[in-house]
Amino acid sequence: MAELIPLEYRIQAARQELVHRWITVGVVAAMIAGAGLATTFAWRARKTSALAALQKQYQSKSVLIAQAKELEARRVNLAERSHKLSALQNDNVLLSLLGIVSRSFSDNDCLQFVEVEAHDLQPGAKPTEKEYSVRIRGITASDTTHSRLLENLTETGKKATPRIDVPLGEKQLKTMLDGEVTVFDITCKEPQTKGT
Amino acid sequence: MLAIDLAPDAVRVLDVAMAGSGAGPSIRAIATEALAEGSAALPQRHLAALEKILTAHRVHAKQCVAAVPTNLVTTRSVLIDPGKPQPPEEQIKQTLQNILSYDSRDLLFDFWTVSQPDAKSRNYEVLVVATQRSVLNTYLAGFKKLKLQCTHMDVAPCALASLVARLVPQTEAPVGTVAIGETQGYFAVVEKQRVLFWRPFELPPPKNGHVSGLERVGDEISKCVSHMVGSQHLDGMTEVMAFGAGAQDPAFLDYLASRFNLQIKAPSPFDAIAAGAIPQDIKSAISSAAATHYATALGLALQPIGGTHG
Repeated sequence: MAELIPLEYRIQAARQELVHRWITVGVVAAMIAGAGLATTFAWRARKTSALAALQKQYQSKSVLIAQAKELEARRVNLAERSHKLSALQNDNVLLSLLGIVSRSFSDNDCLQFVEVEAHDLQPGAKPTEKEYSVRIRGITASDTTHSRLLENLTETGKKATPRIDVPLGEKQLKTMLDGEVTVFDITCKEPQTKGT
Repeated sequence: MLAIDLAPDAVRVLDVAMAGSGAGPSIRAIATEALAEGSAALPQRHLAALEKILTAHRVHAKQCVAAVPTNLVTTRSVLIDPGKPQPPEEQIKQTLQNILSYDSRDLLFDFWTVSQPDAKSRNYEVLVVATQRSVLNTYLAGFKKLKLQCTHMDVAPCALASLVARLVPQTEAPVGTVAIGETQGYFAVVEKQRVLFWRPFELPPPKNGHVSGLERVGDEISKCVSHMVGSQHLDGMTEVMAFGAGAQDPAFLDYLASRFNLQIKAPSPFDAIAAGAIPQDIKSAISSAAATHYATALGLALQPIGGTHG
């Protein structure tokens, strides 16, 4: 048989067929790649949502944990304070020292400030740590009432347990609205043990 | 696939389905459209008729093979001298330039060997078919416009050679074929799917369905046979097959048989394919007188893909 189709036409047709084939292959490859990308995207979206849910769950749990810790800390603090209050209630030294101050004051005296330092007096504590002091500041009507206050403190401090040593302290006259008063500042300490 | 016979007077189309290897084609549709009268060039009238067929029958085939009209093809036997420095293509080109009027750049040809060198001479003969490249490009562009990809363009005698090989597969001897059209015809000698020689001739229009100018046909066949016997020493031809208009006219067949003393046959081309390869409705709709016109189209469909020339 004869072939009368020109060679260039056959080459062009073969080229077009190849191009169409490559385009088809390319389209198929693009579709597969697209499907893969879509699948990957969907998988990633699922994982992201799952991660977000886990993070949300963790955050809610974390808040609960923080709240629990805070509650625990508050309870511990409350317990400490209760313990401290309980310790203060049972602190006989402190009560005794405050009793000395209250029994010594008369109607002519006014207490402005009291500071009690009572270090560890629990049984078993070291002797050097058994120190205490009472600092009182206040106003009295006159120099006479000041002297009487010092005498009362001294007398009461000698009889009380524990005892305290009352020094003269500092005093000064100060004019106020209703006349001249005596302002005093006394720091009482435990009596010094006399050495040999 | 469409097998398109671009005959000088009509376009004949077979829509064939190519089955597996060796099974042969099966016919799906069959159509003919006569060429419109007018001053337009033959390719334009062919393409217009083909477009009508494709539109009317809603053909969706994408590929086609076609036979160029014989009146647009020149055939010539050329003697090739291997001793010349020019290759066979150049020798053929020089010969064609001497006999053809159109520009050599517009020349398009194909050829095949029809005789082997003998002891006396190393020369051998080739049969050349030539046409104009511009005409072929017109057809190819028209096919493309009709969304058809043409994979093979042949000449009608080569298509008939493939058909004859299927009609008489056991025959080893050359077989003569006569194809008669409205105003043109050709005689060809084929052997084992190869065209050894062919010559077109013109005819007066047929009268009442009978072949006109029987003497003219006889003379042309006589010339061809004489040439074949003289040039190629082929005198083993014992039968002639006739196709086309009036081919089954008993008077025509009797004339040829009595003049050449050969066995004259006018088979239906569809005898070359299996009985089940053509739908019953098509088989019953087409008469044997009409079926013979599809010889070229069916021959095209029967050609092996990538077959040898001739």
